[in-house]
Formats: sequence, C-alpha cells, structure tokens
Amino acid sequence: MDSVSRGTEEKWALPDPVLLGRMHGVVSSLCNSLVVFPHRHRLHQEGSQLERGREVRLYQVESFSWLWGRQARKLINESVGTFLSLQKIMQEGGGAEERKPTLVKKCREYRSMIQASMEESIIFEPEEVESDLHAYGQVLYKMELILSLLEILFIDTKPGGLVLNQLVVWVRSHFPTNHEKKSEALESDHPHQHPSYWEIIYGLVLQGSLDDVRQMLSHHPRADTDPFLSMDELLRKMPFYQVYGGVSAAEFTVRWQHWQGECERRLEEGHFATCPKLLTICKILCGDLDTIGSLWDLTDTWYHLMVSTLLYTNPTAKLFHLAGAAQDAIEHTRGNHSAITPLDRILLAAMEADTHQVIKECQQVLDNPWFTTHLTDLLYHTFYQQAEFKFLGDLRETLILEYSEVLSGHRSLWQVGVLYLDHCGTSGVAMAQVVLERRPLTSDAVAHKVVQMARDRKFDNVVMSVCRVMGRRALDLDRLGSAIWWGVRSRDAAFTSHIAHKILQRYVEDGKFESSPLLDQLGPAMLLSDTLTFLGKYREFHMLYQDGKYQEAATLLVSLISSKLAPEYFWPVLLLDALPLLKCPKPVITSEQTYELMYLLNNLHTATTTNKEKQNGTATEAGQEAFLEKERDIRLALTNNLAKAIIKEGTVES
Amino acid sequence: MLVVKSLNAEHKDLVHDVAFDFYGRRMATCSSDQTVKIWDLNDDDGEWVCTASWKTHCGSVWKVTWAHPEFGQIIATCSFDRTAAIWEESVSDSGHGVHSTWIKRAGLVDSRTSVMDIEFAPKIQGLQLATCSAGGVVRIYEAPDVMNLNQWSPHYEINCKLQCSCISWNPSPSRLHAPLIAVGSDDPNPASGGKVFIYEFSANTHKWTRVETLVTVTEPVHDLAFAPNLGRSYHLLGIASKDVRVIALKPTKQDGSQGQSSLTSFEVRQAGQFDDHGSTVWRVSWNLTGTILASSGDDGCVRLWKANYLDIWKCISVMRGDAVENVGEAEETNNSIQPCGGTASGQHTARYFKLAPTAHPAHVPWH
Repeated sequence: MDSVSRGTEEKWALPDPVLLGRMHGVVSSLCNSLVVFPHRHRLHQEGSQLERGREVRLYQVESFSWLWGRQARKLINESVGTFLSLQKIMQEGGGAEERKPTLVKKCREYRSMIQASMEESIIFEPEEVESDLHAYGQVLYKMELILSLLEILFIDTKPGGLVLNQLVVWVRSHFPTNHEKKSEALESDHPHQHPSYWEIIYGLVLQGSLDDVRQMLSHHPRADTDPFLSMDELLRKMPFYQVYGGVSAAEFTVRWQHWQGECERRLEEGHFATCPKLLTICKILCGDLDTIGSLWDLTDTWYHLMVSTLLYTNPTAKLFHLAGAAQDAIEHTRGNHSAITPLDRILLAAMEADTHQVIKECQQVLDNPWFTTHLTDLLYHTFYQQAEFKFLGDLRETLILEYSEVLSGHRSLWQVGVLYLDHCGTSGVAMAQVVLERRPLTSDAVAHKVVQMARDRKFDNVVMSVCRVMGRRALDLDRLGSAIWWGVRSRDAAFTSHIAHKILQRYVEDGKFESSPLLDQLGPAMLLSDTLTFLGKYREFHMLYQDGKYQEAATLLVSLISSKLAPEYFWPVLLLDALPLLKCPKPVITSEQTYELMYLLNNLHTATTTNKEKQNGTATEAGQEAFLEKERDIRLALTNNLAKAIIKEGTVES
Repeated sequence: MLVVKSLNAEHKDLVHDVAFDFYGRRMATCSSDQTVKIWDLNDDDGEWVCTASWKTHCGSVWKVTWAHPEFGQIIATCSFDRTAAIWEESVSDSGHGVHSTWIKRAGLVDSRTSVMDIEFAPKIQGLQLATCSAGGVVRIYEAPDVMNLNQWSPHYEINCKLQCSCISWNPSPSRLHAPLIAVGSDDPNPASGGKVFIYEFSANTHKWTRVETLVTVTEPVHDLAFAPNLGRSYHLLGIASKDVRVIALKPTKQDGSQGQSSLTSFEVRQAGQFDDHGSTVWRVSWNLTGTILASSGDDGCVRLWKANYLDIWKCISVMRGDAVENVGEAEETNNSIQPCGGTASGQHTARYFKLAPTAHPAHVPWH
C-alpha cells in the first residue's frame, strides 16, 4: 500500500496570497475542469478569516492540449472514421493472417492523417502563438515516427521476421534532407563542386540509396578512373534482400557475405588508396564500425545510426537484434552524459518489443489520449487473444473511456466521444449513458440530438430523464404546450397530469387555450394520463363544434361528461358548452344524454350550493359564478331539449 | 499546460463550499458571510456571471447542494445556525430582461446543533434530502409531492451516537442496490471506534440500519464522498481524515436469507491511503465519472488522485497557493507563471493565464 506517493505528480502554483495555506478544489462537469477557491474549514467559532483589503477569488483550472486547436479538429473527425471501420471489420472475425492487411491499412490511414495535419500546420498562417503551432507540428512528427516504427515491428511483420529493409525505408522517409540536397546538387552545373558534395554522398551511402550514390559519383571529373569504376561496380552489386524474391535468407546471407568479402579485398588491395573519400565509402561498405561511427553526425539521430550500422553489418537483422544495436547506437551518440529523451525511451521500448512500456511512456509525455487510444486499439487487434498481451484489452478500454471523457467536454465533439464508447464493453455503455445524460441541454436541438442518440442505443432511462428535464424547464418558463409535449415523451403521468390541469384551469379563467396546435397533435399519446386524455378529447370537441359537426360534438361531449374523466372544477364549463347544442333547432342531444346532463347539473348544483370546499382557487369560483348565472338557462334548455328529443324518438317515420 | 481563469467571488469571507448543478453550468457558492451566490456560465464567452446573491442564514453557511434538474432549479443549504433550508428559483421576465430570484420553500429546524452537511438523494429515490448535525443525528426528509416544495416531511431520524461532520449518498442505487448513506464523524476520541458508518434502507421494514462501520478509520473524519459508479461491481468511498483514504466496499449477499429482506454485507478493502498532505485532510470531492478524487488539507495544497487500469491509485497533480501576486507581463518569476492575455482586473472580468509547472521531475524536453 502506498503511504506516500510522490515524485511523478505535476506541481502547479496559483499566484494568490489569499489561497496560501487554505484551498480546496471541486471538479466541475465532464471536462474535468477544477474550480479552486480559498477554503475555510468549519471551526465551531465565528469571525472573519479574510484579511483586510483582500478579495476572494475563484480559479477555474482547465487543461489545454493541442487537441482543442483548430488544426486537430480534422484529425479527430477522420480518426473516428478509421476507428469505427476497423472495429467493424475486426468483428467479422478471421485469423491473424486475414486481419493483417486491414490493420496495416488502418495504421497507414492514421499515419497519413497525422502527416496531413502536420503539413497543414506548416502552411497555415498562424494567428495563434507561433510556438504553439510549432510545438503541435513537433508532436505530430514524433507521433508519426513512433507509429511508423510500430507498424514495421508489430503490425506489418514480414514472413521470416527480417526488418531491415523496412527500417531503411523508414529512415529514408524521415530524414529526407540528404535526398533534397542531392537534387539540389545535381541541378547545379558542377555538382562535384557543391560544398556538401561528399557529405551528401556519405549520407546517401548510410541510407543505402546506392543508386543515388552512383549517380552522384558519375558527375565527378575523375569518374572514369579506376577507383571510381571499381567503386561503381561494388555499389552496383550490393545485394538487397527481397522478401518474396525467391531467395532464402540463408542464401542471401551467403551472397551478401561474398559481396562484403569482395569489398574488403579491394580495400586491402588498395584500389582506393589514391582517393581517401572513396576509401571511406569502402570502409562503410565493409561495415567498419569506427568509420560509420565517425560519420554519425550525418545521421542526426541514434536510430538512423543504428539502421545504417545494421545495413552494413547485419542485413538479416530481426526484431530481437534491435535492442542491442539500439543501445550501442545510443551510447555512441550520447555517451553517458546527456539524458535520454522520452522519445528515445519510446523507440527503445518498441525495439525491445515491450508494447506495454511504449504505451506507458507515450501516456506520460502526451497531454491527451488521442494517440495512445488509437495505438492501443491497433495493437489490441494485432495481438488479439495472445496470452502475453492480455493487458491490452483492459488498457484499451481505459484509454477509450479517458479519450471520450476528454471529448465530452467539447461543445460538438462529444458526439464523437459517444461513438467510441459503443466499442468499449459494459463500462463504455455506462459511460455513454452518463455522457448523454450530463450533456447540457442548451437548446431544443441539442435535446433532440441527445434523445435520438439515446434512443438509438436503447437507453430508455436517459430518454426519460432528458424529457423530464426539458418538460420541467418548459413548465418553469410557463410554456405549457411544450411542457406537455416533453411530458408525454418522458411518459411521466404525474407530471403530465399536473400540466394538463394547469392548462384546463387557465382555460376556465381566460377562456383561451394556449399552445393548441401542440395539444391537437397528441394522438394516442394522450392516453398517458386521464387528465391529458380529457384535455385532448375536449380539444377534439372544440374542433368538431367549429367544423359544424354538432351531432358528433354533442356525442363526444356527453361521453366526456359521463365517463367522469372531467375534473370537477370543469363541469360548469362543460354544461355551458352544452347550452348552444341544447338550443339547436333540431335536437342533437338524445333523451338519454339529456338525462345524463340533468344528473350532472343536479350534482353540480348540490355541490355549489352546499359550498363544499374545493381547493381549486379562483378558477373554480369564477366558473361557479358563471355557472350560477346560467343555471336557469341551462335548466330551461335541458327541459326543452328533453321534450323535443322524446318527441323525435317516439315519432314513427311514416 | 493548464489554463486558469480567475474571477472575483464577491464574498466577504472565505468560501466554505462550491457546488455545481447537474450539467456543470450553474455554480453555487456559500460562505461565512452567510450568503449564497448563484453563478451562471455564459455560453458565448465562457464567463461566470453572478445571477443571484442573498443572505440565507443567520450563521456561516457550511454546504450547498443542487437537486436533480428533473425537479426544477432547487438548492439546499445548511448552516451553523442549526437550520437547513430549501430554495427554488423563480424566473421573471420583466421588460429589462430575465431576472432570477430564489425563494425559500422550506426551513428545516429540527436540529438543536449546527447542521454540518446536507445532500439530495439520487433522483431514483424521489425528492429526498439528508442532513447531519454536530449533535450526531442524521435526518432524512422527503417531499411527497414533487410539484409542491413547501411540504417536506421528516422521513427518518438516525442517531449515530457520535458527532457527525459529513454524509454522502451512494449515487447509484438501483433495483439491485438498496439506498445507502455514509456518515462520517469528527469525534476526537480514537477510543470511540470507527468513524465511518454505512447505513442501508430496507424497503420491507422501512428502516435505516447500520450495516457497516469502518473500524480502520479511527481518526476524526472531516469529509467523505461516494464516487459515482460507472459499472463497477463495488462502491468507492473517499475519506478525508488524518490522511486521504480510498475504501472499496463490495456488496456480498448473505446466504440462506430470504432474498430481498436481507441486508447487504460488505467486503471492505482499502484501495489507497495517502499521507502526502502531511497534515489534516479537510475535504474530498470526486469528478463526475468517479475516476479522479480531489483532496485538500492543512498543507494548503489541493491534490488530484487517479487510478490506472490496474486500480492502483496515485497522485497526478498538486496545486498550492503562492504568496506572489500575479505580476505584469514583463516579469517572469522563478515559478514561470506567464500571464497571457490578461485583462484589467475589474470586478467581473476574468483574468486568464497559463500556468507552467513549478517542478516536474519527469518533465524532460522531447528530443
């Protein structure tokens, strides 16, 4: 158990004397920003602890990484596409050999994204601080370097396991200055007079670009003398291993050793005695470590030096040779004095085939999990179900969770984060629910988006929660129609009833229905609560009446009354609504229905006159007032209607 | 790289608590100056604006907590004046724009001693609230009608027998986990035993029962908090005491009892114990995913703790206050704090600056 865990944490100081000795921080929202404040702990005594003249300030601390820069936006959007298509293909199954081409392809897609972003950041005219952009470009360069090395060593492994050819290509593509200079020299009139002529040649030799070397040498004025011709021949004849060349590794080794033997022979025989430069080249070809070592500043880095050394000492090198060769190269370029950089450690760990260490080192140096997440995912699929790499599964999930947590703090990128969580097991599902639920519902559009995403993933509880919050918010803003609409979608009967009651009470007071279009489109959803059903049906009654369909309107009205759906405070209104229908020249209300209405009227009369206490406030009183005034009229109309109806029903059509 | 924005809290004394609403876009601060201030995050410029400020109690306000937005815009406060109060926002749209006032819906006056902590229960339990007092009583209240906040009925009283300093609801009860509440005591006597109690509610008996006492924590506990649980099979509790503790509680079902009516028993495991503060730890708080714990102590530092994928906890960040004031752009102190884009420090404007780390042993420049 750690009792003290010190040493690797980051230390920060906030300049504010009020904070000195007393502060606390609270993490806010999903983006993990911290609010720090001068905190006073609770002692049981009163009295101000604030010094005179000081003000209390709050500090919001957020980590800022290149991920939030404009340039990274494209990177984030493209990488999610590659990630998702990779998951899809991997799900289709297949053995290691079948998966490899896809993995290589996806790895290259990631690399090209990084490179594209790098190029854009160079072209782009920086409005931001220049050093930020430069730093961003540097980070990208290093990420691509690491990824391309890992591609060679782990993902795009060739049968036989020989890696040198790929490493040579790797080195050439990351150190292009030599080739650039070569082109520059060749374009000039007298290439051999170019100040770096020989340096360029040495550099090209160290990169194994022997054809280019021959081209350069051919421009030398003494190109047709013996030493030059001899060198040309050696350069031409150096064997390069081809994986599918039909030559086995053993046979290649024989040929190569034969060739190097020839180089050594010519060296000893003094073919190049007259030309020290060619002598140097020949020594390189013979794999003379001292010569190669002495030219290391042309290689610029230890890994370049390592590859160059291996090229001329052990062309059939495999992964397990690299660790030793790397150490040698590092020692040579650094000695024991200067520190090893994080980049060095990562590359070394890769050469030692320690994927765990690679990821761990990357995590420590990078300030966001973009790179480590995608890398671990690639490696996880590469080493799928291999025993020593079981840790990759858990690590991958942790990183995906971290990455989407980072993304979820962003205004629009949070959606990308949720997409990653679909491929992260059960903790991904839980996290996705949290991300969606905690999304600030700043507008209806955002709320709809969240609901849609939750619905797609069958997160019913999230849907309900969001709808409830939106309904509540609408209620607070007095937008009752909107509140009902959200209430219905959240399937919250109590809440919806409450709003429906409010709307009905408003109607009793004002005689107006607000938000009627919303109410009219409820459809079957109105069955959620009794009050809501009543409201919906009552609206229907209004519509029928306005359309002049009095018969249907009357039927509906009576059924509403007799079904007891109506709240008591609303009965007067219903009876008053019945009044014009009762006064129709042709009876539209049958005798049965009239009896119902009379029954209701009696009940209401009793209730009103005995002054039963109802807690519906002024709405009921206002309704009751209107009702009492019209009561006589209603009685009269009912009786008339009853008479007409009985007559009509009793008449036999002749 | 850290970017820091600062703003004037406008309190006349130090702040006791800062609480964010569910979405992190509203902030409530409370202080010894007996007021609560509500801050809203402006979408356009990312600045906090104070939209309400009022006196809530007759004594220092210790804690403030937000209810779930499903119930509306509601906060609760507790104070040295032995009361707790529930406030609801009322927004009026006068001609001069939107105006927000907070109305006291209920005052909870049952306690005879200072009310030390207050927290709303997880929304699945409805609108419930727990308080704890220096007299050792935990009270749980409920609003039976969520549309009527004036009615709060006392639901239950738990007598912990020791003075209480803090409570925390388990944030993720479900059909499978009964409601749990953790209570911490700052009783100074180590002989009185463990200082953290776990209570569980049984739906069958309608009683809260103590199901666990953490006997390994015998020093006074000043703060504790359950971590949000995103799919873990166990609960995580952060404790501020003599040191920082992270305790894992794994529920185990008792055998041979009738399913639902049995109380849960827990397997207690100490996931971390850290003395980095080197002094009393006063507060702990979790982030929203339960992956980062923030602690603060008498050494004047705020530390952030995080577990790696193997569940090993370690400190990832330390923050402290500095006597050096924010200097002008021309100067750079040893601490390498570079003001960047700073505006004049008026009442409401924020100052931005970038923080460079004071010391980072592992921070070696890239090649």
